[in-house]
Amino acid sequence: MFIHNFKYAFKQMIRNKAAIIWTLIFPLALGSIMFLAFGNIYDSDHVFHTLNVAVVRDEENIYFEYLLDELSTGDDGSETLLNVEFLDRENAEKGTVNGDYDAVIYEGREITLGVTKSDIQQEIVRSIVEQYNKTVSMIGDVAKSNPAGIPAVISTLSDSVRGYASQETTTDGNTDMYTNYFYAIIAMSCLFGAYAACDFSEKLALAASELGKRRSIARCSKGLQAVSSFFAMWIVQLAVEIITIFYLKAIGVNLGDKILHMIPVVAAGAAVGIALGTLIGSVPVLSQGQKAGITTSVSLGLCVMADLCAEGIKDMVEHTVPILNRINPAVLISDSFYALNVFDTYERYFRNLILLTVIAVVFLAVSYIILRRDRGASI
Amino acid sequence: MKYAVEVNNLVKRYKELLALDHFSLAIKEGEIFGLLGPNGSGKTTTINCILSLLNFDKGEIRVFGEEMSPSAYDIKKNIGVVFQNVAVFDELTVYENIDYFCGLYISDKKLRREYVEDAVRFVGLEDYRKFHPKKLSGGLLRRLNIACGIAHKPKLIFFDEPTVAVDPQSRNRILEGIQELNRAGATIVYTSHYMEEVEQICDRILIMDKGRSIAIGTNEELKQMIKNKEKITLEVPSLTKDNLAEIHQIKHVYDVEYDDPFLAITFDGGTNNVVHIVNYLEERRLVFSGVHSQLPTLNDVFLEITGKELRD
Repeated sequence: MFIHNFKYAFKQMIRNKAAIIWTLIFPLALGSIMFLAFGNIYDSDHVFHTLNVAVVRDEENIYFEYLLDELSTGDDGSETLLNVEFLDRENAEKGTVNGDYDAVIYEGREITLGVTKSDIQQEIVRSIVEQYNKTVSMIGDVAKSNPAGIPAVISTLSDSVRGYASQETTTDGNTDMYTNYFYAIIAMSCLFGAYAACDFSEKLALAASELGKRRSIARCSKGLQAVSSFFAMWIVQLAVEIITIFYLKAIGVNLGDKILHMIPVVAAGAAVGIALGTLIGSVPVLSQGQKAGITTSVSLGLCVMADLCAEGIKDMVEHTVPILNRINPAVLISDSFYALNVFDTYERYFRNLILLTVIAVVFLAVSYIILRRDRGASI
Repeated sequence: MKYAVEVNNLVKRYKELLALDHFSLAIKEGEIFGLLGPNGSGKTTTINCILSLLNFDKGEIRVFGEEMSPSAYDIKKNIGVVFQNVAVFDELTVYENIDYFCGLYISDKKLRREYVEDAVRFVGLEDYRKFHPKKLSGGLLRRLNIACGIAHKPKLIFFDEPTVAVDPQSRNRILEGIQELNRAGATIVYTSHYMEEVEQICDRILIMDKGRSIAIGTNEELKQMIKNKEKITLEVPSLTKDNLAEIHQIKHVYDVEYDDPFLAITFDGGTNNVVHIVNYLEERRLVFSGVHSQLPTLNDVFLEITGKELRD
């Protein structure tokens, strides 16, 4: 009976035009539009290269120079983040205006940023300067309030510096921030699997539909019907995600060279999307319209938090309430792709995969409990 | 006597509302049993409790002698249900829908194919096998709904108001189909608030109101339970109080209602009552027209027992 249920759930899924439009056509269309909008960022001028930075030493700051030293030293001849040159103010600014340097930094007790030639380069150098200033300020605060905590702060600073130095590109130099939008689109596509799953779940829930009643009185248990439907939806959704990834790759989006490693992520992401829809669809007190509304707002809301619409929300959450990023499947999906393409190690990639799997299991377990207890047809 | 369904002292509450009030019934194997009652009387609640779709507060339900529960799959394999609202998948064709629901009971592919073909033929959807439900008319959809409920050849079939919003032609076909299923050996439980349908096809009828059984028996037995045996209506203008009093004195007349010119006379028995009335009017040289004689209906049974119309 598993195969029988699976076969018909599969047929329903691939014939469900609304689900196909939302999970496949919409993300592909959005991806295409974004690619056209950001098209020129893939020109060679905008792909990552070592940043040439002119430093004007107004006052010697040995700590900052230590940071610059770390960031301009590569292992085994690999590309470094910065190429630093110490100049006087006039030559530094002139060189930057002429395009010889990407940015000018004024070294002193406080570090400030001078003119730069493009937004992307400016953002990278600005983030380094801001991180440094923030850390120095933190050390100052700790020194006043809790001198014993200084070693811990310094250790954090060292890690941060090492992080800048070690998080070099491992693929094809894909560090442009626009790629995150495409990661978020794939995450959105995964979560949009919730639409079809919500519909399926409703057709299984006793109180929600006549179909639910008919299936509840069948000889086949609801658990088996639910599991077989889940697998059918998951396979279709996974296929949709693979198509999405290869489509984006085909039109020229730089997703890095670890495409095969992305598949386990979308597999887990698709499972979360379907589990989310199953959970929403199984809630007996909600109407069909309410369920559709909740599915839309939850899936889109999670994707917005994963920087689908604007860069920076994910980082802001990471610095304020990091736990939200650990339980937001859209963030976990996009962060897995980011980790794959930026870091040498797979630690973050596997952590995200495990978290996605746990979320899917929790959603499914709650749905199962609700569906099992669902014995509330109206008068 | 073997019973397909036995319900004893069933109590079901929806918060303050008592939907089933110590309700009992026993349905014999092989009969067409009608559950008749106005909307909200508890018919669907009864069916849902019997099918374990609803928890109940008190009582006992046995199907084919076994206690019914949500996991009683051995009992469920012998049950089919046709709900009031069409319950099919829009994405599947007519044939696939029937095959899907049949497959929830029958694992053997060859046998299932045979059963599905039988069901398609039974409801007359041979020409619509590859149609999707959205392409079917209302009547054809109802037939598909029935096929999905009976394809696995159940021994006990519940029809929960299957003719609501159905055109007369499809309605007759559905009723004939139900009788055919019964002749093939299935026990039928038929719920409706259309008394004519229940009178037409049911062997025994239970009339329920406010979650209680108020009368049970065959069509004739139920009608014997009430005083009304015949009602004659006619138009007679300008009757006097004396005329009405004299009519009341005619043998077997127990109720006279007059709303000039409409006269309604109810009898508690007797024969040739129309003749007696006509003779009286001619003797008094009273002009009359539009004489109708009506034997009691289940609505009259319901009206006399509860004091209200069945179709309230």
